[in-house]
Amino acid sequence: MKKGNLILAALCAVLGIGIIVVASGYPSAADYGTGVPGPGLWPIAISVVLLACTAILVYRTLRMKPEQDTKIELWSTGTRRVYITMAMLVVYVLVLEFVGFIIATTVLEFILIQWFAKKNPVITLIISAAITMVVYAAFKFLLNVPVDSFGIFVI
Amino acid sequence: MDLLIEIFQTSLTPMVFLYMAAGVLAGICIGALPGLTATMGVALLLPMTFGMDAAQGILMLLGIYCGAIYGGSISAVLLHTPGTPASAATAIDGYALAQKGEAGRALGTATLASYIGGLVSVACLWLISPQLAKLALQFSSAEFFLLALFGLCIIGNISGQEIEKGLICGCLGILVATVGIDSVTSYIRFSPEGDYNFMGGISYIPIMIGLFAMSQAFENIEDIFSEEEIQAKITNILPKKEDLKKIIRIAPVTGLIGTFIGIIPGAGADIGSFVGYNVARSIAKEPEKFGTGSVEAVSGPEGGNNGVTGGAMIPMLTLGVPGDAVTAIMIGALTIQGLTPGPMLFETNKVLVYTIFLGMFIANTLMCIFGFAGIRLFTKVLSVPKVILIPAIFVLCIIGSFAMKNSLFDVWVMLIAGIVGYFLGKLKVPTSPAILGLILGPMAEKNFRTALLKSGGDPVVFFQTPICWFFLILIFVTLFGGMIKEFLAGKKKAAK
Repeated sequence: MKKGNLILAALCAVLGIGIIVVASGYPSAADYGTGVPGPGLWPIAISVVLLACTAILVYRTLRMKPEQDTKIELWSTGTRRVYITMAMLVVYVLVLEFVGFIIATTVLEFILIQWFAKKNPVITLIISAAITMVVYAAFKFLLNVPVDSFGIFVI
Repeated sequence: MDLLIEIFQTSLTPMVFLYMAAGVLAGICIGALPGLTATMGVALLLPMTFGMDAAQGILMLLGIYCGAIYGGSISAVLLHTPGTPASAATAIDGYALAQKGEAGRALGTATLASYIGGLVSVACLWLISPQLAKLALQFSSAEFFLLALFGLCIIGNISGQEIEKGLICGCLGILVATVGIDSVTSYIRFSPEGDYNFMGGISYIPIMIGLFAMSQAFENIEDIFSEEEIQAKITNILPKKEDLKKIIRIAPVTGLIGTFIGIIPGAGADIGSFVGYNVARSIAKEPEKFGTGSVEAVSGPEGGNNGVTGGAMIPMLTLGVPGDAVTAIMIGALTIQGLTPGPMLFETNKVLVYTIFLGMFIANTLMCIFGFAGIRLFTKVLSVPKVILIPAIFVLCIIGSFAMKNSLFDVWVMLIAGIVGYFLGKLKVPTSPAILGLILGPMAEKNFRTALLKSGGDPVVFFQTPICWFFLILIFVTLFGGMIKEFLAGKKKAAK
């Protein structure tokens, strides 16, 4: 947990300082002349709170006793499965725009279900196609969402 | 009376009933499945409401909400695994009863207690909301800023032991909400030049779907091969006279307490459930039986958690401040319909508001009927294999986030939020504060600057009215109440 907390703190510190730097360049209250704080004030104020909380997190983490420190499972069989799924979803969203919803989704469902359930591939294909078609029909025809507005079927 | 007739003529149509019934059924199934929460269910099915009118959409979501909070008790009793965090306290005695061969008795108790808790909360919603809305009509920008600030200060109280982690998450939510065109000066913040996706601001609905549905689905992937078997037999569901007496004594009290917990922004059904359990123990006739399979111990948390549902709706409808994560999503549902939750909703959309009140009563009644009539059927839901359910949830998350603006940018936002939410969960960072930040952050900023604009930059505007002082005191107590209590306790100890 200690390492994780420190990584979180580092990321938040970078983000907070970055926002303060960017927002400092925004117009100030004087530029508007109405007494209204400029668009940078709020993000700067929140970033200061973020940095203060980050400092508290670092302080508490460094003072954490060894027995309070819990191990975070980041490389177990289960988490590796999650990372592979995340990667597959990233690839899916990347190709979604080009191959369209029906093909991309059927393939994604087929791979995931076959991987998890290890069923007969034909049955997996039927289940994958069924899920895709039910979702497609519900959104396309019942909710009028243009799920076919991208991909290879668009002329 | 005229209003009631108008409600039935215009809003509570058979179609709305159908959507509500579908929502309750879906909610019970979602709640019953361990790993799927009420928030996830509402976030996942929110896109379904985009094509509906306001009453249909919001009542379907309410049905899911009430159903899921109740549904969690099914797996809590049968598997000792709460379907939702709100049923964690029910699992203690519910499972103990199931072990004694009285699973039906436990489920019947949970159903009736949930119904009573829900009814009490609807009554409070009906009684308190119009009065609170009337009061809120007197609010100006300064009061709304302080109200939003109070809501943000509550983040500390809902963050568990590591308050700083909750506050960090809340700040991240507020900062994400600042991306895009500034509502007061129209200045474009933190957006790449010419990128319309960023300039329009990052919508919080894909973030919610990512944080609550996608990240939970990722968590479920970790132990996707685990399957639990139901061994208990379900008989004697209808409570007997002696159990009925116990339920009627406990559930209304815990329902009322749950309602008031729900009113507090950020406090959800899980807190209502545990407080309900403790209150039930203090007023029970047989407190010694708690932990060994007591009907009173099942009634307490179930009354408490369903009491939260109506309570959480009160600040959402009257002030535009979410009572919990589910009502935060409902704010999104209303916004998509072009409606702004808050006191003006009671003036401009009175019929809709009272339709929601009446609809909530009907949703609870449907939940009770379905609960008693179909409990054996709902237990079958527990047999749905995760290996098929989780991939289907991924697709629903993706298409759901796309559906709002038909934008693939929102799909990326959802996916990133899901991945970030998963890692935040690993670091024990609560994600609910992010949603409070996303909703209350812009409200606080806009009203803060509008108040200063009206006063010509004079900060005295925040100290001028009694309502301002009321909120200032609340903020002070929220921030420093714990410290003062500790200080006084220490002094008392030293004096002794």
